[in-house]
Amino acid sequence: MHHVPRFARSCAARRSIAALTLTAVVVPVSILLLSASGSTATPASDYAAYPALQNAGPVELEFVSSHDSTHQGERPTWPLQAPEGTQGGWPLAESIRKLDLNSPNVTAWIAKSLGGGICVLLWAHQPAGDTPSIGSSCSAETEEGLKDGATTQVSEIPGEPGRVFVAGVVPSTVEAVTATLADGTTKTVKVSGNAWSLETEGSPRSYQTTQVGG
Amino acid sequence: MRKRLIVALVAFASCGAIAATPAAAVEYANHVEVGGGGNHFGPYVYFYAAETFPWGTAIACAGVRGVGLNCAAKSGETAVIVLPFDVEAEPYIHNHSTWTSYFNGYYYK
Repeated sequence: MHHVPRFARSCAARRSIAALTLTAVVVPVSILLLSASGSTATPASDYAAYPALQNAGPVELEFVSSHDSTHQGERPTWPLQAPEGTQGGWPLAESIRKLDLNSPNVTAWIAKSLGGGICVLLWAHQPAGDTPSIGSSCSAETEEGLKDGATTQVSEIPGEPGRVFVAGVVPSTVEAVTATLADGTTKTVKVSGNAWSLETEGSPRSYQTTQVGG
Repeated sequence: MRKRLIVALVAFASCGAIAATPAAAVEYANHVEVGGGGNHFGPYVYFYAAETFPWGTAIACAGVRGVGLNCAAKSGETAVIVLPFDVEAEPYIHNHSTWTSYFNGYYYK
């Protein structure tokens, strides 16, 4: 009978252990990195018109890997990873940056979308004791979509009947946004750092942008 | 001793893989017809996020009954609403346009 030397068996065992350990560590880490990076097909240069994506200030948004009900609080959170099966218009956690809106009632963020568009996230500060929520919308995953930017409208906040909170992100070539409000009047807001926002009664009917120097 | 170490390492790595698994979408409405300005409510479930996908040119909104509603501003875009923790409520679709259109609705738990 052929005996494998103890030394050889020991080496083989060590190699097996090393391979197993490596696989056990590399596979989940790869899954995590791949799912976190998403399918950012849009080259970074296409986001050049959105310098707000480079904002270095604090994000002021907690990223979580779990949404179990043990997490309670007055502030919203955002999932570290995009859920499986999302439709592409989902903001990528690692690209989220806070926008400087100077508004006491809302906080907004900008982000790249999973599909390659641009997104805006909006938290309309809810009354104490109510569930904080973030509304988000993303532009189409095309050059045209990035040119248009993204706008999101949050409403039906408890205690704020009829109140609509709007935030948008537009390229740096846009200097103002004019909203046609529910009553037919218009309101123009200045764009600063790719961002604009407004609060109104009833949902605005439409939005029109004014280009810099236009 | 070595076996214990391997078991511990594999268990630790597996936990990491489980924790890294993202939430999955549950489709509660598929190509459902919603009149202009109307709602389509989903089931009463535990979830933390809802998403509405429009099939046509209508403006889509994703809502959580009693918590809030979020609308995209342009036709054809998806709308998402995310809560910091699971709630027991109804996700819903709102058609923000004046005409009837079709939508998919998803929630995440």
